[in-house]
Amino acid sequence: MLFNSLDFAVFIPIVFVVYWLLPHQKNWQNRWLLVSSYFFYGWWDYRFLSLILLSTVADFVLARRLNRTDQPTARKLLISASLTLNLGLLGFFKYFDFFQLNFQRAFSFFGEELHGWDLHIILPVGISFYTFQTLSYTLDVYYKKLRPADNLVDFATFVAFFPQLVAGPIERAKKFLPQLSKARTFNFEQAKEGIQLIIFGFFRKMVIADHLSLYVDRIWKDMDVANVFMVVFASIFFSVQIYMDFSGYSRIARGLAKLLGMELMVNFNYPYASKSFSEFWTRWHISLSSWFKDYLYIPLGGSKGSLLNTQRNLLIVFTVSGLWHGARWNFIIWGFMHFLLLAIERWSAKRMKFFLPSFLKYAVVLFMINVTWVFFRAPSFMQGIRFLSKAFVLPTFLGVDTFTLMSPVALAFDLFIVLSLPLYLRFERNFTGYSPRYQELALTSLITFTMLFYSQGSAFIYFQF
Amino acid sequence: MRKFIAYISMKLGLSLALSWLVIFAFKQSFLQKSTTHSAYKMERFYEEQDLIKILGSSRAEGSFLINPLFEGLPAYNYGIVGTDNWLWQQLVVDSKHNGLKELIIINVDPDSLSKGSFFDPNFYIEVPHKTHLFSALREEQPRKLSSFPFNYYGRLIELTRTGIKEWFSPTAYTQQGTVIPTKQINEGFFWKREFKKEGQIAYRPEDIEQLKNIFEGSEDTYVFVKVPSYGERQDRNFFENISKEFQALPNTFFMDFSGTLQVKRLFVDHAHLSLEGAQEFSVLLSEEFKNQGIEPHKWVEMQSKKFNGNGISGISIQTKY
Repeated sequence: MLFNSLDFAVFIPIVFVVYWLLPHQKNWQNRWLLVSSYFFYGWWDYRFLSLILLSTVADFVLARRLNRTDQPTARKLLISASLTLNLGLLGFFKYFDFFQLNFQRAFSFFGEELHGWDLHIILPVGISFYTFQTLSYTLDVYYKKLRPADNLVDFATFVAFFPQLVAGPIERAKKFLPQLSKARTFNFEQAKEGIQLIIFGFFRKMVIADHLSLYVDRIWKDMDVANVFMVVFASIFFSVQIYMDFSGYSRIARGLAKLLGMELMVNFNYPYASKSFSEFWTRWHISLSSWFKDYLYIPLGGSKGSLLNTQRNLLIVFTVSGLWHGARWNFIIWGFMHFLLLAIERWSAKRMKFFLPSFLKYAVVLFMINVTWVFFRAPSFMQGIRFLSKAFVLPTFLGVDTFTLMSPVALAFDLFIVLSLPLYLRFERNFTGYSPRYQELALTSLITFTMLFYSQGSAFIYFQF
Repeated sequence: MRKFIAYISMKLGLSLALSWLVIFAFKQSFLQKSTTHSAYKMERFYEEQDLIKILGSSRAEGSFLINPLFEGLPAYNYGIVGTDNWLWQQLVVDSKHNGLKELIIINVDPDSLSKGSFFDPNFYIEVPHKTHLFSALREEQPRKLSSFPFNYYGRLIELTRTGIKEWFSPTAYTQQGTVIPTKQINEGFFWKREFKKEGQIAYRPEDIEQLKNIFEGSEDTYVFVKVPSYGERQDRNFFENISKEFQALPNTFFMDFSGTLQVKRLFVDHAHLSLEGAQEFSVLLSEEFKNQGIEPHKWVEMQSKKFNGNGISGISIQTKY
């Protein structure tokens, strides 16, 4: 069920009203949330529910066992079982086809024909997100940072909480389970904040991101006739599109949680206003980057030790991060590019002591992030290279062929959206500082504007992961 | 919670009312009769009594010039971009039942009959509900069909920018009310693009059957034309596979120009003629009309006399829609 669908427009008022009409006891509320979440998830394909159920029950049991024993071998065995199960499910559903295909190719390179199994595996929606969420739980219990959940319903609700189930934020049990362990009471101000976030989120997704996607998709579809202008516009537009799409989703998720009396973590903090690549990763998809930091980078040694060790750790983290996004080489290349940028940044920070003006730092980071998004958006690595090669194709006289795929009017609209984005973001950031009357007027205008000018778009980009 | 439900209901209600107001104002001032050329053409198709109708996709729109082919006649070019071979099929059914005897010229795209997957929903915004086209759209794309004001939601920005683009286009030219937007020459589309439409026409049996049913009982005259494509050989299969099905019918004619005018400067890309190409094509077409005994001027005069007892200017036949 997509947030921007009619199905969801029917689903959410029912969930909301029943949730607050039920007795204000945590058990009733959690049960209802769990039923609603499973219904939400099963709407895509009810068969996927078996995976989430398996993962939930197994991790609940394993975590409780972990808590009961202090024997190192037994604890290692239990955490290995959790890792094997969760990563095994993820690996099978997400990466089986990818690895099989690449093995076949590798063998055929040496003249051997290897026949694989053609399983046609369907990727369950949101599997990467909820797998990481449950993994963080068992790992926290293993490291004794968290007491395991006492109640299966509470834990299952933590895993399947529908606002963030399919595209995050990847919540931590330490922050989320305590919210589920007590009854929620309706708070008008919190619900109002939730509505604001939902309105901002829908505006970001349906008006900004979906509109820009029209141009981006067109250029990628007819790449053969693209020239440098089209490539530049399409890559800038995609950078804005993916930010607005994903941050729009996260805002809606946070808003829905607030409607239900819960709080989710902030997932984006104006990432394109970063002066360095390391800063970018503290502002973009914060829940995932902090997950990798806590459960992979630091256990590997982090930045303690030699520069070479740090670079190795970064390489591992960003390769896994690329692979987490999808079983395709272009995602791995995307991750590798980010590793390179961070590695160069760290290396140069210690050796090059010249002063770079702030605006240049912003510009360099923005430009390079833009280039990396090309490989993220590309259907394959080679397509990404082809797209970039079009940056060397000059337009014809007066550049009229720039408008072959999209009219100047359409391009002007999209440019207007992109150029006015900083103003819009400032408006959102300062929103609570405006007078109540102005806030109400602005919210009504945003809803009206979204109703009128939304583009008939598609699923959120991160739903594919 | 009641306070919150009242708050959110008021907000949604107010926004809905405001959006309706905006849509109504837009419709009355800017969108009425001039949303886009395509929407305008659809409205005109069901309201005007053009005895000569040119139907088809962008290739029809850019290739058939009213002047000199049908100068001074009640003729209109209803070619609409992106409609492949889907739209004209629906329009010929509606034409058959409109009470007029028409000369219908159809540009056939060299592709299998597509089901309108690229059909822009803007086209049918004002299509009357009791038409075959509307039923076909309801069958093909039910989710996109809705009544006023809901038919404008999600399309307003597209309508606005397409409308601005089309109605302020300095390169478009007009002939007897038909507006033809010109295209820019694009080398990329000549050489770099694999163009799937190079294939032969491959109608499905059920489509042929449907068309036969339309033509057999119709008093309209149908001229099927395949316009020139750059770099494409004359497609003999066009006649072998398709036209033989209909050649026995006295009211159908077939003209294949696919292999003619093989001069690059006459095309904007390998599927579309330039204005100069369309002018050259008009000469070829009028010659072929003569060869096949089709004389539009005489034909219109005869039809109008039959209905009104006087000349062309006295046409006042009311359509059903």
